[in-house]
Amino acid sequence: MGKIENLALPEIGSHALGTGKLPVEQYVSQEFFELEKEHIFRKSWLLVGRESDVKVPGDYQNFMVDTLGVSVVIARGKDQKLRAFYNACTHRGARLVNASTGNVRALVCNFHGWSFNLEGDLINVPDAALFADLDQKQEHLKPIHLDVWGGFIFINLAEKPEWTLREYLKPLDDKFDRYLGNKDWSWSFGWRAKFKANWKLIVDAQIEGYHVDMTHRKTIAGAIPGSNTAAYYFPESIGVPCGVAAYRPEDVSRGMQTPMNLLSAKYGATSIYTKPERQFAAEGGEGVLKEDHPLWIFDNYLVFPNIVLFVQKGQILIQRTLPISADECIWEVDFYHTERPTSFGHVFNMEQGVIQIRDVLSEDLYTAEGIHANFKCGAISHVSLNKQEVPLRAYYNRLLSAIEQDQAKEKP
Amino acid sequence: MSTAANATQSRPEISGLENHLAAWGLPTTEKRLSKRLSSNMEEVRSFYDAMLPRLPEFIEYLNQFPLDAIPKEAHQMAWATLAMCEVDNAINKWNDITLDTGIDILRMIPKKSFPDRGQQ
Ligand code: FES
Ligand SMILES: [Fe+2]
Repeated sequence: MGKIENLALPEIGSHALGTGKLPVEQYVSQEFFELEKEHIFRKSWLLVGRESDVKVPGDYQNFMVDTLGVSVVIARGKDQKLRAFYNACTHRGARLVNASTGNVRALVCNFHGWSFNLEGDLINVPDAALFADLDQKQEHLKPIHLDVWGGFIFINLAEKPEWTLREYLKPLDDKFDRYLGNKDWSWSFGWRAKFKANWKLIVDAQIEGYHVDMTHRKTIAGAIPGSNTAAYYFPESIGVPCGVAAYRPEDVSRGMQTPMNLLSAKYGATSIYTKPERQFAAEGGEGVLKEDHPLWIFDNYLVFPNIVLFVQKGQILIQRTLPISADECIWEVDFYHTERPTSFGHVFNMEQGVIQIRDVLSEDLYTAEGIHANFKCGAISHVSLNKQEVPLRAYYNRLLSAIEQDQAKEKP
Repeated sequence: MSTAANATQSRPEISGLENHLAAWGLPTTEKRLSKRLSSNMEEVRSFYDAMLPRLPEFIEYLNQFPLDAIPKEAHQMAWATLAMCEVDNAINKWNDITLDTGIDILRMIPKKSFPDRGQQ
């Protein structure tokens, strides 16, 4: 480790996807948002949960796809299988569950008491004789396609998904599935907020490294120099168009290492902005973690359309952004770690890491609402992108191609 | 594994710090954040300056217990130690109570779990 030739960084980006300006209608146009709803959110694999949160038979989770007004129930059946259904009673359409999580023996509708087992079959109808010709077998809950990868639950609202989840996620392969699906991961912390901005602006802020030196000048600038954040794009991929890699500076003294950062670094590895003195344990990262590079910190991947997944040794960060309308979105960030703190030193390290990342995220989120307003009022009609911002081109191209391909399929 | 019974390092002397520990020894990150937001820079700086030289000793002392066996009398010290993380940037990077190049930090609502999206 540490040999000079190993310090070479990947290309910072590429002009391969062109150099022209991009229009901004896709952020503010109501018609475009309708296309996104129909051809993207209804057709893509959407990350909605973590399998370990729905662990035993009867566990369920209720996930709202606000974009489409679709409420989904994800439940583990007696046969251990996870299934997803529309949260809609087949009698007269009432919601079956209202709590966001729980454990039940059956899904019982509060309106007239129809009940369904966790496989979605209608199993009891009060006073069934009152119905003239009810065929209970036909009243199964409406199923939704579900699959699990990397320990995460994905759903697809299409009648028949165009791709399997594994096809969709390439180049993220089975090695990622194994690493991220490792049972050692546990949820540590996270935040959520609402923004008056198009959902894609929040995604954009995490898929380029050009902003780091300026946006983060009052927190982490220098600790991850913008010049050490290389852009990836994956032209062949269906669901992972691009990503960003982050490397420490060659000169470790760069970045503002406060006495607090240095002290916390003795006890853990939660902060990605300070070189820790001890590392997280992380089994099975071969082919996923770039540990042979002494400066590598993380890779992130845009899981189309709305997830940015940061993969690191012993730490996963997931940013989810879901539109409510063209002009408003829900933002969430969640952290997973392979180790739970067992000593105060580790708690202290975690607290320092949590607060550092919280403040950094507050900077990442600072520009979206202003940009949105500027696009919406017509002050800005086009944007310029450099080669380090090539992921935004890849994202834009995928957005358009996903819509076009799906529209073409619908034509007779 | 060490326990309270075989703790080797005795509780650090805190005389002179009592007021700081009482003011900042708050049990949650959210309470410590509110404390920062409702303080002025002089208050934050006097807390930071008083605590910093003592911090390694406090952490080493607290670190010898299993988490659930930290003596009750030391909780305030533990929380005040964590409050130092909350004031680090204000002191060392912003020279200000708040970050003026980020969203209002109170807009970021701490989640309790992955599926936690508040009241829907
Ligand atoms: S709507 Fe569910 S039982 Fe009537
Ligand atoms: Fe950033």
